Amino acid sequence: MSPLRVVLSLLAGLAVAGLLSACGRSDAFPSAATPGKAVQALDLAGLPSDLLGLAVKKEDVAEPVSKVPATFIDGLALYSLRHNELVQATLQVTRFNHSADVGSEKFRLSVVNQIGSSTPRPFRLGGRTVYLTTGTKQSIAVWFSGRYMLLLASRADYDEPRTLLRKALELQP
Amino acid sequence: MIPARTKVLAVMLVVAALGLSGCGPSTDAEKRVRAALKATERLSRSYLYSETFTDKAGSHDTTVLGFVEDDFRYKAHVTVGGRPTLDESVNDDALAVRFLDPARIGDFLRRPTKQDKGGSGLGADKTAASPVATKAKTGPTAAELLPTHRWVLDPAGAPAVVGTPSGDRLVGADPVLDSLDVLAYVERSIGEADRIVEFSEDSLEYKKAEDPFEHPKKGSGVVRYDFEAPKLPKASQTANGNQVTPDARHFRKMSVYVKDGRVVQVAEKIDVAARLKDLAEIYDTKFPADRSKDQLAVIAIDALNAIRQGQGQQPVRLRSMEFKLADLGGSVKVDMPTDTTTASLALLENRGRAADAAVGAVEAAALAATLAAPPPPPS
Repeated sequence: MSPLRVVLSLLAGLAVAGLLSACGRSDAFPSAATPGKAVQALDLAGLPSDLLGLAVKKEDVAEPVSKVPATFIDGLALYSLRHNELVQATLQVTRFNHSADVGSEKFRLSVVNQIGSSTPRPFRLGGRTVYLTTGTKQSIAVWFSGRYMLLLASRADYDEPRTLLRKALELQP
Repeated sequence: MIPARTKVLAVMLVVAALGLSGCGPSTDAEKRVRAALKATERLSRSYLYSETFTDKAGSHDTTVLGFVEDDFRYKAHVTVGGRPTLDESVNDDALAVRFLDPARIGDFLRRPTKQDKGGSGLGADKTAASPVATKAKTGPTAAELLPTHRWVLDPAGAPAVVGTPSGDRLVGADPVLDSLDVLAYVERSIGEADRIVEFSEDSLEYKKAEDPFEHPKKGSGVVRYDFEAPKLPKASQTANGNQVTPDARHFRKMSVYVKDGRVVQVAEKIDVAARLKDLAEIYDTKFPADRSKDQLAVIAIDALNAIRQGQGQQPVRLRSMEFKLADLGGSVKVDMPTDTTTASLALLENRGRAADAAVGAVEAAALAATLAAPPPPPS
């Protein structure tokens, strides 16, 4: 399985199944959730074609998302960042629907705590809070911007994950 | 029937006791400390970290003057025994180090047991060390450069921030990371304390003779919170088949000074001398009468650590620590030095790319041997 495919399956799972359970609002499910087919493909305006020397390419996640019956997100984009065709990192942009209490720290933590294989720890970068955790052979950074959540996953052996993260933090969804 | 006068007296005593206790419920004090820690962690800052560690050889002083722009941008100046020893700057993935006192390099070299741990990465997933080490050597190595007082830059050598929590690292083994970790260390200590109270000299529970820390100046607006250590475990207590031995928490005296909702100072003393009597009673032992309390504390902690390490537990470090913060939220900018030479810094503990850790351990061992070798006889 290619690294991107691994990342795709992981991230699609996080974006949909993870977020649903993170909300802990199954009672509110029918009215609050967005059907997977209704989740829009987002475009991150201002995302350059090259980020820190890595080629940025938008990946199609419509199919796995459409299979999800309901979710608390209404928009999603996934970008791969490659060097010589090898995926070094992925950037996922998720927009929560209006039923999600994105502004509450409790909600954010419940989402973040479902990501990665270690307990996420908050760090401060350039005045923003970023949650860091690890996945299998990858480092994962998560941060929030308005109704959006951004998730940067980089290979564990990628040499510039923090520099890349700081670059990604400049992006405005 | 209780006489009315006695009732009045009793009520007065209760009122007096409540008024003098100097603190509300301990949970409130704990909440205030936690909130102050959280508020402070987010801020840029400078700090002075001072540690005095005591063992049989005497006392050893280490200070770290630090500047933190954010969690991935900081610099630190280390002195050991009053001598400038090490400068370190981190900017995201990049790490620059120079030794001002090359005789101390050995204290910072990678230890053989940590060959699998590198630095860098957002998370430094320890399972992920790439077999591909840093680019082929084209210039001098860090082992050659560091003894010459020169700055060495490892573009991907910054210490890991996730996956190597200080719970996994011995306190005292890395003064730079220890100093950066103080606020998190305090947070962990909250969980280890019996309770946290707001300091008041007028409290009925306050024991002046047992207080090693400075009092907040009147009118300064500084509030001091004291951590109370739990009771020592009984000799008969066991866990996982082992005798429960006292931990650092049982000897810890810690005070956190808060001003305007932010932590401005932390003081800690692992005070074994104050619990010698308890230790003697619990473990049915007698300490030599011809030694000072401080000497006995060293003897006691050595004996205790022998048991703890035999059980696979971390030793208790006999130390005093003070951490003073300044410039909170101010304009703290961390620049990297410009006069650097690029090389892998994986020979230093907790530094360098994970992929370079194995090579770093070999380099560290070779450098340690060189440093330990006697100087060649004069020709």
